[in-house]
Amino acid sequence: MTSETRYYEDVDVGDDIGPIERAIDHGQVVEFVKAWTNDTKPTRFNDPETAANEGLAGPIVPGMMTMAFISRLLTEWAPGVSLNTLDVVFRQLVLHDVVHTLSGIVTDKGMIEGRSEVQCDVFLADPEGTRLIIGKAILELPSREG
Amino acid sequence: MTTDDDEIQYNKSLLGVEHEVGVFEVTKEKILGFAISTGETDPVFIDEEKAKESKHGGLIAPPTFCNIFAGDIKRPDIGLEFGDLGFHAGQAIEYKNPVRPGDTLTAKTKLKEVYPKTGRSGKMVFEVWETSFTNQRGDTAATVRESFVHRSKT
Repeated sequence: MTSETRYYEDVDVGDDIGPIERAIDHGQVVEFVKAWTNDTKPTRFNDPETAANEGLAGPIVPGMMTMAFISRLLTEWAPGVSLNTLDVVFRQLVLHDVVHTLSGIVTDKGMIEGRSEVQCDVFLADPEGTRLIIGKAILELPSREG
Repeated sequence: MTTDDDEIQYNKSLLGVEHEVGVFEVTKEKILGFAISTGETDPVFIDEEKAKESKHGGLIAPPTFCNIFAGDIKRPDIGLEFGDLGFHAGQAIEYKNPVRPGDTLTAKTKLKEVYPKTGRSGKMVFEVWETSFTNQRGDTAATVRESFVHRSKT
């Protein structure tokens, strides 16, 4: 991942985004749920026992938290980028403390109403390579032409 | 493969009708809680002093922040007569204007569509809601679309 500005002109259809490997750990989910609900009551997200009672393999990561991690994949790939749209499908549950792979690929680019936009597909996959979340994003990158 | 929409029984009068579903205060603590727990490293989301030097002139929330308010709202019951299992199938967020500490966001939601689909596990019905968050200046901060899928256990 670069910390330098990535310009619209430097990006081509087919470019890879990432991959990066990241585990969302239990402590992070507990803090996230606290920020979300102002509450620490046990739920399927923060408590192994509640999750087990619901028939889950373990506590799960809230979908909206996984979106925040996909957002970070994109903003770390292109620091300073504006993430205009992120649209995802939750295909399977995401468990705590598992190292997942986040990746993307540029699928289109174009000037839309004066904005230098890049479209991409994004994925979050488990260690076996199964895509648990798939989605699309629209980013606005800075242009060298101003 | 889809099936005929007429087969689905639900309260169709809710379609497209906007409901105000809450007013949310954005605090510095909430932004920092969200940003730090999701591992953000950009100072504009986590460092009040450094954020002042950015193009935003101060701390702002990460792009998907409004999702946490969407996750908190109570929607009208559409009275769907189908299935006994429900899942969160997908979510989309359009980020339109920066969200800052001290903002007051008014949420309005509407039922966008209800449609059937037949997949490997049989027939399912999707219920799609769209929620807009408008700040105290009248600007839309974000729009969140959520899809919920209903199906039968057997």
